[in-house]
Amino acid sequence: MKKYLGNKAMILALIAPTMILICVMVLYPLVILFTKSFTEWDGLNPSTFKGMDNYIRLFKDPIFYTGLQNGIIFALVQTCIQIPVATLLAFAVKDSGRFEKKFFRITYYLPAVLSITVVAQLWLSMYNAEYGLINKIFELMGLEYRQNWLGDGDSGIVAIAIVNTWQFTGYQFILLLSAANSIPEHYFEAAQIDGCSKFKAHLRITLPLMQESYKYCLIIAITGGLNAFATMNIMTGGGPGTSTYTLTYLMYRSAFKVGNYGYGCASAIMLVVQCLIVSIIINKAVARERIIY
Amino acid sequence: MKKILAFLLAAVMLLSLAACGSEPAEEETPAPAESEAPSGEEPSGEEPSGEGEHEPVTLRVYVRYSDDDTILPYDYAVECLAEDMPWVTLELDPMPADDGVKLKSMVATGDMPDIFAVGSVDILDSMIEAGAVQDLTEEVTANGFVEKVLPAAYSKFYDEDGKIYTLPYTGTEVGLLFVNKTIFEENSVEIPRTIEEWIAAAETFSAAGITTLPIFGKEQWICNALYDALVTRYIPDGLSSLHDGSHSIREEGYLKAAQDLEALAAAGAFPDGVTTLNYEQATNLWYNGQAAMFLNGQWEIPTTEQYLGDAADWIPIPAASEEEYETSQHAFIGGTGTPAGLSVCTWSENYDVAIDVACYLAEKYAEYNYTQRGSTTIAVRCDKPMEVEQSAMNAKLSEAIQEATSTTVMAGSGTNTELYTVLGEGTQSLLAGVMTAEDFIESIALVTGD
Repeated sequence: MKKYLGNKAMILALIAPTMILICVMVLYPLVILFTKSFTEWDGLNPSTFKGMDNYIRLFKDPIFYTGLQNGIIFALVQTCIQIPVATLLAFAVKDSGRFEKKFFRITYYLPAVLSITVVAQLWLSMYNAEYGLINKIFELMGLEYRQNWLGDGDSGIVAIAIVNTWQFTGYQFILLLSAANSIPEHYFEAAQIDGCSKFKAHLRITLPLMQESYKYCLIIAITGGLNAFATMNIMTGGGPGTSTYTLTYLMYRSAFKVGNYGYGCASAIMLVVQCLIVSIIINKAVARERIIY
Repeated sequence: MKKILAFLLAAVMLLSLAACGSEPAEEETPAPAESEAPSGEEPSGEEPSGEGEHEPVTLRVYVRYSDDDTILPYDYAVECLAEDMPWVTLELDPMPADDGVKLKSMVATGDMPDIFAVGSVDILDSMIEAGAVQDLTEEVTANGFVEKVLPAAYSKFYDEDGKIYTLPYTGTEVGLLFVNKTIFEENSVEIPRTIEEWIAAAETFSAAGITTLPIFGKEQWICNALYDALVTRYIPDGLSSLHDGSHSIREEGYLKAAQDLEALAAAGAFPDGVTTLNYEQATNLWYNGQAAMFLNGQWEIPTTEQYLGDAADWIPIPAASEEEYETSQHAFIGGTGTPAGLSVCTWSENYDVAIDVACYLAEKYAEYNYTQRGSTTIAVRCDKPMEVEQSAMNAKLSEAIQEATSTTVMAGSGTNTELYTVLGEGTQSLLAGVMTAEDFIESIALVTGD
């Protein structure tokens, strides 16, 4: 091993393809994005340098704050529902029989492989203010709780976040299930000999040993929430008005609807910074030490 | 040995990565397209423009092709083209409703169609600057197209600088407020002449569980069109005067119109969840006789007549007051265009043929709309007789248009896209009742700088 690690040329040769790909596909676009964020650009013709104008305008733009707030709400709803539910499902499936394991693994993961358009259309009909299933259920229960789920400025973003949460909980579940399955069985056997209940074993053994997986789940849940776009684009188009805009939507609006690509790049940079900060905080706060079984 | 093996593995990995990438495509030459040329067409000595005199040409056309309004005229034009220019084959690339995003990407990547439709001045200006579109004046004068364009379509034909970049293929249509007379009669509600009566009618229908006006509010342009309609009751130029800067958003008319929109929403004129209602859902309510009114362009007339027959009619936008009814009934929304229509890519390998074909298509679109649909709002002169009887609504419109006192650029589209977008967001919020009229004015003032 030491011999291989000492061979710098070999290391370089092995990592070069990946590094080239990352540079071309990630770093180069990021650099371009950053430089264009200081310009006025219509997306076709040469851009004009405008200094900090786009950023100053961005911080004065009420839609920026709406987008920021909605991104946080989206991330919170997603994180607070997805991770606990995925954990419970993962533990339940881990402790179940072979057939059930297979069945539930496929069933829970199924929504994640569906197209966002299909899921959005499904929920659109369920949320329909006049004929939607959810309002009908309330009606059948005799409750006067008819809601205009997507047309209301306040509930719209939560309603959309729930759709995304529903669709991708299965993904988190698979991650957590594989993490739980990778914990050596002898820890649980030892706990069982000591008279530990299943609940306590999960609490004291499974959860702490899954810290690294939780770190990854947290990052994808939160950054996924901050980045949200497709679901609201299909379901509300950012509306009513701008009430379901996120930063990604602001970026899309600026670049593709208004034709101001420079301003769109500035919003994209803010989004990158936001996701970067969240990732750094999570990396610092959760599972700081590598767990080796 | 291990070292050599590792080097070999790395080399294999690099080679496989390189193989994954595609080789730069060899420059594509225009297809000889023998197989694409219409089959079974023998060059005829009798026809001066026979196939034999021309090299087969394939042109890529990027236009809307999504509903009867766009599919039927295109198919008609292609059918005619096969007879008149059999050496030309059109390859359709249907245009999505994407605010011109795909078209911009096409320009940026150089993958441009030969002929394309463009509807926004902002995009057109960018394309001119990028060199994708150039002045067509000389060519369309030489082939006689200029003389065929009707004066009513000049606003779509000539750019601000007097040059021609677009060939209008549809007339500058107006927006109409349709009514289902049967629903009004059945509920003993008078067809509204004033905004006040309109609000009262909405309250009555709402109480009876009938949808008054199913606006397809997911599309912001129709929200703008409704607001534009209300603004014309106070400021005849509607949103156009806001776009050209001749009026300030602080003028009372804009606020009053926003308050009217707010009042209509509060009276239950629009269905719940109106901002998530798409065109199909809205027209479903209208065509099935479940809605009392409908707002759309005049292109809606044929389909509405098909579904509702004599029960449907269009009415002037209700006036601000009974006294103003006579003066404002001929103030239309829409009817003024901005440069838009078919254009030809400068980079086309068959540039000259593409211009002739684009002119031909524009003519045939107009011909179809006039002869087959009985529409008189066309952009290009048509010498053929109308083959269908002009419908009652179309005949009424033809008469009313003669007396038009003012027109607007429909919903303020095609010009200042930022203002148009902010207006769309604001009017949508008013429809949903999540913004007050005063806040709406403030949000617009932020953009106009008033």
